[in-house]
Amino acid sequence: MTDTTRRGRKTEVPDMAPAGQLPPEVPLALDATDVSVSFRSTGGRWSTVVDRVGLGFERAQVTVLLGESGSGKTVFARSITGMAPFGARVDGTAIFDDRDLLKISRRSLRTIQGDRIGMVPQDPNSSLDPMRRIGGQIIETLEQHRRVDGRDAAHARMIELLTLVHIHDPERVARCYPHEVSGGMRQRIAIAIAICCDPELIVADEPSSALDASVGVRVVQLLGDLRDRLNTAILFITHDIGIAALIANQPGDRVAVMLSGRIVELGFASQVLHNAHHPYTRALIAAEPSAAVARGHLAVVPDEVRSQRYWSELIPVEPGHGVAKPLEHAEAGVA
Amino acid sequence: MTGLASANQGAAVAIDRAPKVRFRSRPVFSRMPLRSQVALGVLLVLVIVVVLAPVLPLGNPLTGDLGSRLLPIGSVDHLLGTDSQGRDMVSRLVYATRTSLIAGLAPIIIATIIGLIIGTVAGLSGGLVNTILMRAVDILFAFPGVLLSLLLAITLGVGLGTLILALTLVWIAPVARIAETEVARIRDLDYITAARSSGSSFPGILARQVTPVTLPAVLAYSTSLVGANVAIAGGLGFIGLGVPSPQPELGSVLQEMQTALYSDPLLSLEPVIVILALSMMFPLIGDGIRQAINGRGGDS
Repeated sequence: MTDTTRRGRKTEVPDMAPAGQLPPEVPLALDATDVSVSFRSTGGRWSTVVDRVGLGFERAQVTVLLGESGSGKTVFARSITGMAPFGARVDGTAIFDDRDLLKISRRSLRTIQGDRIGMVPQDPNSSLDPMRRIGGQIIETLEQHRRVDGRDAAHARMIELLTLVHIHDPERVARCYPHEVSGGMRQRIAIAIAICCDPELIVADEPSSALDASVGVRVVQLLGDLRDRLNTAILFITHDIGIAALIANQPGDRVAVMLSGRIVELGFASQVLHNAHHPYTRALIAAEPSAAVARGHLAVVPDEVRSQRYWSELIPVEPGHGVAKPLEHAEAGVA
Repeated sequence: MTGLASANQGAAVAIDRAPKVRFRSRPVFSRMPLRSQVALGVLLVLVIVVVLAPVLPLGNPLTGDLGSRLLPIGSVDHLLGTDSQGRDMVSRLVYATRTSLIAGLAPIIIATIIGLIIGTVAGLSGGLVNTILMRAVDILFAFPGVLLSLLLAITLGVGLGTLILALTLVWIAPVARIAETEVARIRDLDYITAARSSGSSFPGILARQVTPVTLPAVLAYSTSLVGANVAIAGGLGFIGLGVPSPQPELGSVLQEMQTALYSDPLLSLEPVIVILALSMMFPLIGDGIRQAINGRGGDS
């Protein structure tokens, strides 16, 4: 499932050059290759949650990781940024600035996490410290990564960040505790912390799921705006096709569909969302509630798709768009 | 149509507003229900009286006039009567309350500190450390308090120190459990993970992230425990495991006053009323603190 090499988007899908968008040597913010994550289940057997997944992330490009819960989206994203869950066995490489985040020490990771890789967690209620004021939490991150000199500079930068995430009256909000502001504001404050050190990559793990729909859309739009302003690569995890289409709204943005720990379809957003080839992607799109309501019933993912255990490497169907084909047990080469 | 659009805009702007009311500016006391405020007031008066006991115009609590034994309530010079040795009951009760408050508060304060440390360390560590610490707490839980007090009284001798030690051991377990549950609830939240991955040490996370969140619940619980503890301390005093006589302690005073039960029941019930009042006040205060805290923010 290696769909990425150091050359970036060009060779995402082997043997097929995309209709020339970017020069061949686009440096990747983060390049994950052949990443597998497994956990020891009860009985001592290792169960593979993420299976040889590779993705590269370019600056100013959104990559949406789309899939149902349990498909391994979050585990993959956390693993490639050096935050693998406790007890996980992670194989593969995740190259960031010529260093493999899966191999370097915790101490070195610390200089990257929160500084050059920002993280927007799913639930803004649990990502902020309830007992400390919002301004202090932002300043703490700035100071930890030595991005500011002195108190005044830190304060000024903090106010600037809050303004950047569309918070009016930032001086007052900075003095508030997290419980005193709304969920949408909390999530935007989490985004402010994620972007405070001008990261090269932002990992947004379902940032709109814990919010109600309209506030969630505003948060997603904010992230989209920031991608342009800060020239940041965004790995955006979601299970919602509508949100995926909302964030991946530029020609270079890509959507990767994940099923049972494998990427089964990868391509530019327009290709995957409007011209899906994989039966699972099609089923997901058909299962969008709005479409289902119009037809009077809810579509479900067919059993034969869900129970299919082995998928091939991505096979190109058009430039930049690859789809995995189902494999027989013997073909998969599994003992 | 225009009206709807402007209404929507108004809503969008409202989302961005920080609340004008700053909940935190109201002190905890004013957010407690009235009964808790009264309980706190009574407790404060009691504490002041008890602390000032040596300078108040009270009779000697240790020696009495054998000629004026078991005087009824309302006697001249002895407003609450005298005991079987002619000692003034006002003075006896004030000094007994003093001892009982110490025996009621000290074990809870010590047990809260120790229980908080055990519970938060166990909760934040998880795994083997959690298992070892919490199973030890379970053993402590299973050990009967009265038996423990008896054993300690036999080995260390009867006295206020022994009483405090025994009661401390009794209360460590429940406090540790509450603390551990609270920490387990927040241990895997993102902001704790963030602190950990940004290099905060274990004690650092314990002090800055975990304890402030755990403290309110534990303190409210401990405050309620003081009431039960006063009653248990009284019970131990009653059976002679408290403070040795002639030092007054509510349990031992009650035991001495048994002799008056048939002749003057009201007189013999005086220490009971004080024990009852003391043990009722603390749960009321604890509930008040809990309500005041929960009323704020709610989801924090």
